[in-house]
Amino acid sequence: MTAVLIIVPSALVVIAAVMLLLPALMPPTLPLGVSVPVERQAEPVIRTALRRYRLLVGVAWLVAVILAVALAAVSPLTASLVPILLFVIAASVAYIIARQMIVRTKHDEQWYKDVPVRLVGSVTVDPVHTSVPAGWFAASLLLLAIATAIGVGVYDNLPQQVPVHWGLAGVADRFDVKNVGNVFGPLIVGVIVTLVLFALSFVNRVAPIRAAASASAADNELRARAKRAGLATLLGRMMFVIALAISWLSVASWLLPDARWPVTIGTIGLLVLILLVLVAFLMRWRRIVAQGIPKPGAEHGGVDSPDDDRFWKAGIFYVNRDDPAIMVQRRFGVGWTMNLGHPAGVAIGVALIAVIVGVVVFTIVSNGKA
Amino acid sequence: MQIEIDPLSDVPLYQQLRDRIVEGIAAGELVPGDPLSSVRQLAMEFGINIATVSKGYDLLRAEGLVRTHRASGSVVARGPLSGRHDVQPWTPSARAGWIARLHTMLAEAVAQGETDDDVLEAARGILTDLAAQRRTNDAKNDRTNTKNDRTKGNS
Repeated sequence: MTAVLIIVPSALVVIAAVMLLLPALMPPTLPLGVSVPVERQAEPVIRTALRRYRLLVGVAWLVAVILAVALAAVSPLTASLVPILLFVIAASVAYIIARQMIVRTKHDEQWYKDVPVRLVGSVTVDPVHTSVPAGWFAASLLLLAIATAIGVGVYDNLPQQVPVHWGLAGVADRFDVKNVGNVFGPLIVGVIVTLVLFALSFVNRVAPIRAAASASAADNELRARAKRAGLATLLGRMMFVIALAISWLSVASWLLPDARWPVTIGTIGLLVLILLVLVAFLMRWRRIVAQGIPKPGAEHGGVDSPDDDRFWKAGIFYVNRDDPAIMVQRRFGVGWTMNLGHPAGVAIGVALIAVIVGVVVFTIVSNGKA
Repeated sequence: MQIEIDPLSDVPLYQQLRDRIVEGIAAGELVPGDPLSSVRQLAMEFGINIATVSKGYDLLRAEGLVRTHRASGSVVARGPLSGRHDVQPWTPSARAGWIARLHTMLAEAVAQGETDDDVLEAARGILTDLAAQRRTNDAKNDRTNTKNDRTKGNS
């Protein structure tokens, strides 16, 4: 129960921090994922909508924390899942309400009336500058290989019963007969995660980053390059941190099975490192997204990117049948999202939902058995 | 080379695409041998239909301005004479098409009451402008000898 009191609020703090930071990570012409012309980016309604969003997310967070504390006395599992789920739903509603304020005013005041719009892009083959995080990839695999080697070395000395499930407090509560699968399972998961993140870094190299019509060609190229480089670094560091944590926890569970501190250090270290990697990335990203986008009244080419809100359902789901791109840059948030107007995009979406549902069902079933 | 196309214009997107590339060649931003993005890449770059881009490239190929090899993709095939290599003469049908369009353009000006001298002066102004842009771009290409520092120059 004490573990729930620590884990749930800290998870809520991280999610709330991300939700509150997201608006600051958008280019100024995409407040809350609504496309607005350069000359309208300082409209009062945008500031009001952002304030409303932060207020609603804050209130939702407070309610979720109180709920978590209240539920912890009844059922730890409910206390760990329900408040987080409710908070995510409430924050999404806050986002919809706030962005609708901007959408409505934009529509009523016809912000795009008489604003010349252009699609811009390069017709020549530009050399690919982005590298994949091969160094981080090699280092991650090396760590996992070392851990595997240690595991092979101590395999015969491990007890016949090994823990296969841990309770919310981090104490093993289910054991099984030792086999290769449950001894090396976490390391195999680590290898899969590393491979998936490395594969994503190739998507990052080729998926299109669309240029802003209001920015100069040079700025558009610099911004696209900086975005790809930033995402490549993020992917590389993430895979290394995850590989490090999994290797550490595996080796610790073999060599020091009775000590609690390696697990504590491993878990806290993992969280702190992920947080550091994310903060470093977000600070870098914040600088990148606004680069080259002119301020209202500033001298620029006089053209804007077209209002493409109709392709972005709720500013989150991209549906454009004409667009041959399968993955595009997210509108609200960081990274990529699939084009649900493209058959391959739909397939990726279905696969993602299947994986998420599978993990949730597996978690509930395995907890139920314990 | 970055180009701009207007999604709300009456001029079809494929026509705009073709026009911007022609202007890029005339301004020396694109020179014979320069590789162009593939149809698919270009459609992804702008987020527009592949068929639209394909139609624009078809026009350019029909005019002989672009050549597409199965292996090496599309490259710029023609360019301003300006003392450069052996540029083949224009295909008669492409030139006839241009004369027909020019006829309409000149008729517009005459119908609006422009004098012949004003029309010729406007034409000379545009040609001088293109020549100046070509000189700038040539100097830039000679200096860096790379193809990735092209800046926005048209529309």
